This record gives sequence, structure tokens and C-alpha cells, in this order.
Amino acid sequence: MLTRADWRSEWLITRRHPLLWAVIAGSTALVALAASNEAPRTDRELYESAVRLGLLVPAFILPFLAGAITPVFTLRDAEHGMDDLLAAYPQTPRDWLTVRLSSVAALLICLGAVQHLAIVGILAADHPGKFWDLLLRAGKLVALVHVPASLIWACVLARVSCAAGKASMVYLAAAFGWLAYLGLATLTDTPLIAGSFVAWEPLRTAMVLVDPYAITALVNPPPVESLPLSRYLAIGLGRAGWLVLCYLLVRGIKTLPASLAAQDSSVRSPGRIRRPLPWLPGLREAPGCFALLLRWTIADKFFLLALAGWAVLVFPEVFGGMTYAEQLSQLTPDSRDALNRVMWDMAPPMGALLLLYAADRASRMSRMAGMDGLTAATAYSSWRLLAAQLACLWVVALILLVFTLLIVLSAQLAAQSSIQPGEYLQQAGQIVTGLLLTATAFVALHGIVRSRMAANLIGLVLVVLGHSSLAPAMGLLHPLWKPLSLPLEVPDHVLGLDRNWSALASFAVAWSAVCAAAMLFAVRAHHRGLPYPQVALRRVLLNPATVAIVLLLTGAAWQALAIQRMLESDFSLVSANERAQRRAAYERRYAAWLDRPQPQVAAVYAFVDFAADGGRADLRVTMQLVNRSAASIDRILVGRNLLDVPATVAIDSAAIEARDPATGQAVFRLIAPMRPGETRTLRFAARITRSPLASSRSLLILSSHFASLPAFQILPVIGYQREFSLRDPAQRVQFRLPPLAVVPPSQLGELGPGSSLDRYQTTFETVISTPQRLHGVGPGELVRQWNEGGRSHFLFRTDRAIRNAPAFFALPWAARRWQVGSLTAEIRAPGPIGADNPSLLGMRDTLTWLNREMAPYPGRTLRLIAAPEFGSSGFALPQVMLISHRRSFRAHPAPDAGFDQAYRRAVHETAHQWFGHAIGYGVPEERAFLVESLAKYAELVMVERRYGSGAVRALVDWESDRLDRSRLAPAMVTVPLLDAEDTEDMYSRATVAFACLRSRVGDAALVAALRETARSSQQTGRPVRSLDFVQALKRIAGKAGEPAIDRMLTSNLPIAVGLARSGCAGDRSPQAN
Amino acid sequence: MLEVRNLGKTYRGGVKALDGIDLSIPAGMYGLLGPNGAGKSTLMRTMAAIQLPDRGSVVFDGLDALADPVALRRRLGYLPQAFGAYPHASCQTMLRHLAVLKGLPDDAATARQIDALLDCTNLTAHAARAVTTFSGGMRQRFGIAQALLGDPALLILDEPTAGLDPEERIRLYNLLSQLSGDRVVVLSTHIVDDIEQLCSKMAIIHAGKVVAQGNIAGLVEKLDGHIWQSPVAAPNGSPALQLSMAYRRGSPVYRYFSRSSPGDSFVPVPPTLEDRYFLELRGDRPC
Repeated sequence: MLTRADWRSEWLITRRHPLLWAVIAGSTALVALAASNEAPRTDRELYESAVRLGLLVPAFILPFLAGAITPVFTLRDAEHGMDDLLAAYPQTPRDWLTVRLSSVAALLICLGAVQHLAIVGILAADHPGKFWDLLLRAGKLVALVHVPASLIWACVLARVSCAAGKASMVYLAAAFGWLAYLGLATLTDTPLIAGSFVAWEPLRTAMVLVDPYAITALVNPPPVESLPLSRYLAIGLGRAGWLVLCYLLVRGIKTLPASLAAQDSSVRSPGRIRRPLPWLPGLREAPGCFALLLRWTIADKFFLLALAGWAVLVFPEVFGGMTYAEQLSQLTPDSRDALNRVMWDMAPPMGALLLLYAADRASRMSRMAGMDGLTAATAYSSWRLLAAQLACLWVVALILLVFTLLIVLSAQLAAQSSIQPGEYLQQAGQIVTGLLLTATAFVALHGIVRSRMAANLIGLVLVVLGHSSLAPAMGLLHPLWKPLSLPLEVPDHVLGLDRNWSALASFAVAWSAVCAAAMLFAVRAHHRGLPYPQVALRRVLLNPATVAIVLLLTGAAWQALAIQRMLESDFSLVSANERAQRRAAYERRYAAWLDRPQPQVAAVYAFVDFAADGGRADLRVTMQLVNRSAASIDRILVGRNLLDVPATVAIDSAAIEARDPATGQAVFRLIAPMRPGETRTLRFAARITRSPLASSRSLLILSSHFASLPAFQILPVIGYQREFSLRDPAQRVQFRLPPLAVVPPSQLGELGPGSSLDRYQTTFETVISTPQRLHGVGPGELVRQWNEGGRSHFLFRTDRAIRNAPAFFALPWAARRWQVGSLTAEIRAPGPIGADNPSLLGMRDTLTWLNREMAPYPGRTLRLIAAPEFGSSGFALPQVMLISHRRSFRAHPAPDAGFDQAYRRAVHETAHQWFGHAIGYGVPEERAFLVESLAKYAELVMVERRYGSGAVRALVDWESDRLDRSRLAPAMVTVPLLDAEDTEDMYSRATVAFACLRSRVGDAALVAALRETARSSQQTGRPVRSLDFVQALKRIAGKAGEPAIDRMLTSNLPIAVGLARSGCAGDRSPQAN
Repeated sequence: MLEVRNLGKTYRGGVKALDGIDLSIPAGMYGLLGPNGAGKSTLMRTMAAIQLPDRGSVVFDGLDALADPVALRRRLGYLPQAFGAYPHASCQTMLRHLAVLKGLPDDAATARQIDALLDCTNLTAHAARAVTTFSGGMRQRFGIAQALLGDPALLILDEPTAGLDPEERIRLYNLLSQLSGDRVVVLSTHIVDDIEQLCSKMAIIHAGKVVAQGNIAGLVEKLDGHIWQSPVAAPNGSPALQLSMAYRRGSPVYRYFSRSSPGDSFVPVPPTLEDRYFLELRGDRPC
């Protein structure tokens, strides 16, 4: 009969285990860190943050906790040699299970509750009035999700403990469960994982029931009608099923780990003596104990199971994922697509974890075999011992890599995709360095640190820091805070793999020096399983090895400094907090300039020189400034733009009165004041460099065969820029700025007399110089092209003033042009482009429609550039568009897509020439409605005209689905669409809203309202407000359309309610539900 | 009374660890003597019901230990040949935890019992130290202490003197002698002296079989007049069976089993338990 004393005694023993506290502290700190990185502004964001973080605990933290904690309870007897002793105690297996299992489960539940409480506490710190509400919701999550999940993990791992009797197997099971869930979640589109998608709808439907954390049921749109499929019933059924399974698992436990170990420790029959690696005869003669170590390491059940588990994870990931371009869109994959699925984000961390395990085995072989004393007493030198361990681990690393490549290859063969052996060799060549460095570090670590647990914990910390975003989340932005990590980028089909080699070399040199120093130190200080000897400082200092270690570390520090310089030149080391601090200082010091008249940019003359090696561009710009105010200007505030490049700025007949390097501002005092209508010339020169370490996930790309220079983020700005003000209320409080009076667009009054579009418009004349193999692209028409000094030159000029957002490009592809009425559509992309290319069709259709129906296109040519993966699928600049090469040129619609994503995207980006560059700027209070939401309307019209109503229905269904999935608190009131700032609102909700408005007021009214708004803006020269469009639409649609317009655009009703009240709820096809 | 009947155990590979063992062990100290690998530990583990035999029975005071091992374990104190301990847990904490596992109430009486056990095993001064930091002898004393928790009626001690220095060994002898009383104490060892010091009854096990058992005096007595000792070996061709050759103060001492003197230099000497033990190992069955 069990008593309270049994549980108390259990806790008294387990609470002394340091691993328990390390895991508890680490996981709670991790949760607290994640919570403190959330900055919800609205109630909806607050609750969504709470839900997201609340689900993070079971899905991401719990498996680690369970894996680490369970063996402390279930396997400590066997692990510490107490199995025989305790086997003779009068405790029945049932009692044992009851005490141990319930202790594990209770601890997991309590920890989860504490972590949920920490989340609530941190989130409520900025929203104190919401504490009790958040606590109630957290309690619900704990009851619905965390408690069942804790029981599931406790039962599963107890069964594994009893079946395997080894902690390593429990770790493996937990890791496998964690990864398997991540894989499933990625394939079933959970909002917790970026980039997840629905790979197979039946799988997602099944996950609504069988998701062990009930996350799928919680975050997916709840079925509205049928009770059997209601959210809470699904959750209840799923939990019940899991708990029955757990009961069966626990009931199936017949042998306890102690009994298992007791049987194992009994006398064994003499077995066959196996030679190390009989299948590798050459290795039998290998020096030292290398062959023995290798056999000990790889002929291990855990290692083989881990490899098998790796294969189970990798094969479906590659086989199912290599065709994935985006939702509803597929690629015809090649080896790069296949390898990219696993080689860059999965293989390095998993490889590091497996190497950590292998290092533990290889380095502690003598101890595990009880031979540490014997080995230590031999004359076998430490360096030979460590060399054998290092060679063993390097072989393990190579085995892992080759095994991974073979799995990818088999997936490619199974999918019959084209195979490029060179790609395999190149990617393997880039990945292997990191694995070998990791292996070296782990061997050194185990050689230096005598405590096995301490060495493994340090190794684990290195892996977590090196392969997660923990360091950046803690504000440690420097990539060298990610130990042994090589910041390589996933190669695409535009920039390729080449740029990785330089980054690889820079970091590999630094980490190699560190690893070599660590190995040398390990050789000198190897514990050989014995207590550390006393150190004579003088002897240590005079040792040649010490000198070598110091030299190596100096070399590493030197290389780290070189990396630091490169990163600083790439502006990669400025944290978000520093940026906010600068903005706060900018506002404090220069906000008064808002009321001062300042000149405006009337014309820009630019010369851009792209260097042949690709890492540099020189930009020389002359800006004509004009005083359009009614007052004289005697001082001009010139400030740096978003990208802080080293530059020189001068204004004719002006001297710098004050310079503020911290905020990048300079005040020029004019020798003679600028009278109204007068002009001055500003000269700007900058050398923009991008080191090999720079991320290509931005518009600034300077490589030898593709260059993009976003001058609109580089050119100096005149006067105080309201857009640079800090908008986040919490940050404003933090930096002691007065609250910002933000008027949402839906309540924005008439614009003042000072607002005019010409403040934001200018003419451009640009000469672009490129190596002869490249082609220059800039805003305006190509006026002239010539070769001079072995370089190509391109002169572009705009016909009239356009929005001042220039960018310049050097591209490897010549222009291909198509006539669209009086306009020209130009595409720069690799490979053939037929007249039926969806991007071309989208561009042509939209140009034709909006040019005719809304306003004339302000130029003669519109350019579309196939872009590398720069962080966005498309970006529209005036007269130039960047569209992802992968998604829009390599991809094609999935069989069940219903519409073409490439066409939709081309329409969207083309529409920005109107929605964004004709209307939608000039009013700082305006948000994204006039830009993004109206572009979504254009998508609806164009997709319907090109592909019919079925396609547009599919588009609306897809966006509805996206909207539903993106909302963790869908029932909450939201902001009016006009005021929307969240992407799911400005894109998906806008699509749904405009689909409803099309059915209620019709395209004619919508287009007429657009036309009227644009015409009014052109006539008055003043920017457009969202409300101008809404008012025009109401006027044109009449009284009958007003309620729907209000509900869709200016109401804060949940969209589902708005649709229902407008009679649009049935517009969604059944499968969207 | 502990009754062992026809115990048999064969491991994978055909090694017979127990081959039809029959023993009747009364209250008091009982010794199991045998060389390494004779099957002593298998027998001890089987008697403690932590390992199942292929055949046979173990009955303690009418209780079928193999059918109801938990019932046996409530009355059992067991010291395995080798055991570990949880790191970071002190000796006292470990004993308290083990007392709870034995079903003792977590109260003042148990605490007093633990204190008494610490005292009698001479561990009071080390009660706050982790068992994992103990020397071999201290750890063995801790093992005895835990075996004695709950005042068990059956004590099974597998090589309790292993690793003990002479002083500790004598202390253990004294402790075990005091403990025996009405309870059954089974002690296994390969050190003849342990048995001679502690037990009145014993069994010799060899190759999984009981080759001799009974009262120690009786077992030794039967060799009276048949043990011969000499500083030189018996001549070649002598029918005498050499039991041992050892050095005493640097001089060789040969002991033989023979019904008549093996040679001129031989003198008859009183038999010892060691003579009997070696005789059984050599395979002869004189009695």
C-alpha cells in the first residue's frame, strides 16, 4: 500500500539531481525569453501571443523536459548500479510505476503550469488589466493541452525506459517524438512554424483528432455546423484516444528497468569475440584504438536507431517537399531543391546532436567498459588517444553526411527528379566543414572536462546556441555567438552556391583555430579519467604547447576581428533596440524641424558603377533641391536613410553647421537663403560594399552576377522624416518620448493645405556602368547604351516625375520585350519565356486594365526582374518589379490549385504601379489599404477575367483559409480593414472583403471609385486617403451598397460576422470550412 | 528455515550456474563457500527472489518465495555482491529513502532505527556524506545497514567482506555474529576464513552443485589423520592428493590428503576447513 511517504521520499531523492534543476531552469528561462521577445500592442495581439507561447510550451519545450527528466525517475536505479539492491525490496512493479510515473507526470504538469504562469506574468506586465483574463486562458490551455500532453509523454517514455533500460533510448525517443511532431506540424500548416503548409489535406484532418497537443484542433478554423466535428469534441476525443493508448502502454509494462538490468548483469555465456570492423580489413591495422573506438561508436543500438530515425524523417521531407514552391504551387525539382530541404536547416543541428552522442561514447569508452583505470595506467599517450577519438568522430561525421546524401538521392530516384552529382558534391563540401569542426570541439571538450555530465551539458549548450535563434533572441547578434556555426545560406537558382564559399572560409578559419587550440589544450590537460593534477603555473607557461595555444587563439581573435569589420560594413550588427534608440534620439533632436520649411527633391542625376567582382558599387548622385514653400530656407537638414552607408554629402553654397554622427544628421547653413522657387544642388557620393558574409535576404545584393542597389534606402533624406518616428507605444515609453497621437486612416480628417504629391515625386536620369557581361536597369526609359573602357553603360531617363523610390540593377539577362498597347512589358529572367508565361500574362493583363480603367501608366516601359530569394516573393518599385524566380518562373500550379500563383503575383506587383506608386503615398498616417488591399482587389478581377469564376473562387477560398489559420483568436473584434497593419488582414481579409464587395456593389462601382479617386488626386496634386476611396465608392454604389461597404472596410466586426450580415457567407466554397 | 529444493539455472550458451541445489538452512549463520564462478551469486539472487530459476523451489518459513517474491522481500535483507548509490544523496538520505521503499513508516521510530544502524555500522560520523564518495569498506557497511532496515528475518549477504580491511572485517564479523540470533543469515564467500569465523553450518558449492554441506566441525573432522604436511613435494608417482602449496615465512609448505604418509618428510597435521574446501575442489570424495 503506497503512502504519501513514498512520493515524498521519491521527491527527496530526485530533487538532488543537478540535471533536474538545470533542465527546469533552462526551459523556464527559454520560455521567459520567448515571452519577453513578444511585444503585443492590441488586445488581439496580446491573446494571440499568449496562445502562441502557450502552445510553444507543450510542442517545443515539453519533449525536451520529458526526455531529460524521465530517466532521472525511471532509470536512475539502473544507471547508478542500484538495480540489484532495489530488486530485493518489497515494491511491486505496480507500486514502482505508480510512484515514478505519477512523479514524472506531476513534475511535467507543474513545470508547464509554472511556465504558463511566467508567460502570463511577462505578457501582463505591459497589460496589467488583462492579467486575470490571460490567467484564465492559460489555465484552459494547461487543462486542455498541457496536462494530457504531460501524461502522454510520461507514459510513452516510461514504456521506453522499461523496454530499453537506457537513458540514451529515452533521449532518442523524445528527440524523435519532437522531430516527428515538427515534421507533421510543418506538413499540416500550423501557425507556430513559419513556412509550414498543408501537404495533404487528409493528414491535416486526421491531425485535428490525433494531434497529441491538440494544437491542430485549437488553431484551425472550428467547424461551424456539425457537432461531431466541433473543436472541443475533437479535442476531447483526441485526448481520450491518447489516454487509452497511454493506459495500454503502461499496462503493457511487464519488466521494470531494474529487473531488466538485473537480468543483464547476470552471468553471460562466453560470446564470440568479434574483431573490430571485420568488413573494413584495412582498419584492423589502423594505429591506436581507432578501429575499436569506431566499432564501439557505430555498432551501437542507439546510433543505428538514430540513423534509422534520421532516414524516416529525411526521406518523406525530401520526397514530399522538394516539389514545394509555395501553397498551391509546385516545382519541377532538381538536386538543389531536394538537397535544400534538409542540408541547411536539418542536417547541421541533427548532425551536431548525433556527434555529441558519438563523442560521449567514443571519449568515455574506457569508463563505460569499467576500464578507465586500466587505460589511464597504460603508456598510451594522450595525444594518440585523442587522435583516435578525433579520427573516429570524423568518420562518424562523414558517415552521417554520406548517409544523408544517400537518403536524398533515393528520394530523388523515387520521385524521378533530375539528379546533378555536382550539386551533391558542392553542398556536401560546404556542410562537412561544420560537422568536422563540431566533432573536433566535442573531442576536445570531453578530453578537457572530466565530468561526463558537465561535458555533455556544455556540448548541448554549444549545439543549442549554434543551431538555434537563442543567441539573437538574447540580443547577441554577432554570428560568432553561435559557436561552431557557419552562416551559410540556402542556395537558390539565381545566386547559387558560390557566395557561400567565402563566408565558409572566413568562419572556418576562426573556428578551426579555436578547435585546434582546444585540441592542443586537451592533449596537454587530458584527464584520462583521473582527477586533475595540480598545475604549476610556471611549467605551464613555459610549455611550447601553451605558446601554440596562445598563437592559435590570437589567430582566431584576429580572424574574428576581420569578421567583425565585414559585418559592420554590412550593417548586420545593429540590434533592433539600438535602431529604436537611434530613432528616439532622432525624434528628440530633430522633431522640431517638422514645422520648418525644407526644400524638396525635384530631380535626381545618378551615376552607378557596379564593380566587376560584385562586392561593391559606387554611387554618385546629384540632387536638385527646390524650395516649394512660401518662406525662405536658410538651413537644410540632411539625414541618412535606412541603410547607413559611409558617404559624403555637400550642398552648393552651403556649409555644414552641425553634424550628428549618432543619428546621421547634418545641418547645412546656406550662404544665401533659398527663396521660394529657388533651387540648390546636393551632391552625394557613397561606396556601398557587401562582404561575403552579408545576407542576401534583403534588396541590397552585390554579387558578381546579380546586383541590386536599393537607392531609395541609401540616398540622403531632406528635412525631418515622420516615417522614422517610433510608433510602438511601449518603445516610446521606454525611450521617454511623448505618446504619438496616431489617427487611424478610418478616422483621418481632411488633409491640410501643405500636403502635396510633388513632395514625393521626382525625375530621374541615371547612368549605370556594369561589367560587359551584365545589363544595367534603372527607372525610366533606356535612352542609350554604349561600351567604354571595357564596360557597358546604360542611360535611363524618366519622361516625367515619378515616385521617388529609385533602385538600380546589374543583371545577367538581356531584356525581352512585349508590346501592350502603347506600353512595353519587359522581362529579365533566365531561360525561355513564352507568350503564355503566367507572369507575362499577369503583367500584360493588369497593365492593360488599369491603364485603361483607372489612370494612365506614368511611363512607357514596365520591367519585371526575376529575383533571387531576397526575403520576399515580390517587390514593386516605380516602373521596376522584382519577382521571385523560384516561385514565379520555376513553379507551376499544383494539380488542385484552381488558380496560378505566378499569374496572381504578377498581377499584384503590377497593380502596385497604381496602388502604391500612383495613389497610396504622401500621407504618413495611411497604412496598407491603398497599397496592398487594393492590389488584392486587382488580383480578383484579373484572375476572374483570365481564368474564370472558378479560379477566383479558389483564390478566395485560399485566402479565407489563410485568414482563418492565421488567427489564433478569430472571434475577437478587429480593426477596420482601412486601419489594418497585420499581413493577414491587408492581404487575406482584403481578398475576402473585396470578393464580397464585388458581389454586392459590382466591379463597375469599384473601378469607378478607383478612377475617381486617382483622377481627383492627379487634378489636385494631393495624396489620396483611404476614406476618399470609401466615400467615392459609397457615392457611386448608392445607399444600397453602403452597409456592405461599411462592414467590409470600416467596421471592426470579425470578418465572419461581416460576411454573414452582408449576405456573403455562402460565397466561400464548402471545402474551405 | 530456508528450504532450497532442486534449484537449476542454465544461462544462454549452456553454462549451468545451478545444477540441482538442495539446501536446508536453519536459523543462525550459514555459509556458502565456493570458488569464483561456482554459482554462489546466482544462488543468492535466486534465494532473494530477484532471479527466477529454471526449476526448483525456495521456501522460507512456509512461504514460496518464487510464487510470492514481494512477500519474501518484506522479510528480507539483501546485500548484493556489488551495488551503487545515487550521487548527491547522503548516506542518511539514502537509508531514509530505502526505508520507505521497504515499507517502513517515515516516522521517528524509523529515524531512530536508521540512527542505530548507522551507529552499529560505524557510519554515524559519515551520515551526511554521499555514499558515492565512500571507500569500499564504508560502502560495504552501508550495504549491511540497508540490508538490516526493518529488522528482516532473512539476511542474504553476497560476499559481505569483499574489499574490507582487517579491522573492518573483524568489526563486520562481530556485527554479524550479534545479528544472527533467531534469524536466518546466509553468507556467501570464497574466503574460507569468513566461514570459519562466523558459521557453524555451511555448504561448499562447485560448478553449480553442492559438493558438501553440514556442520563445519563434522566436515573437517572427517579428514582427521588424512592430512599431511611437508616442506617438500611428494615424490612423483605418489598416490597422495596435493591440496595446497603455500609459503609460510618464505618457506614452502605442502599439504596432502592421503590415507598413509606420502613420504619421509611428511608429518600428520590437524585438518582445517581449507583442507576440506580444496579437497572438494580437487574432485575427490573421501567421505
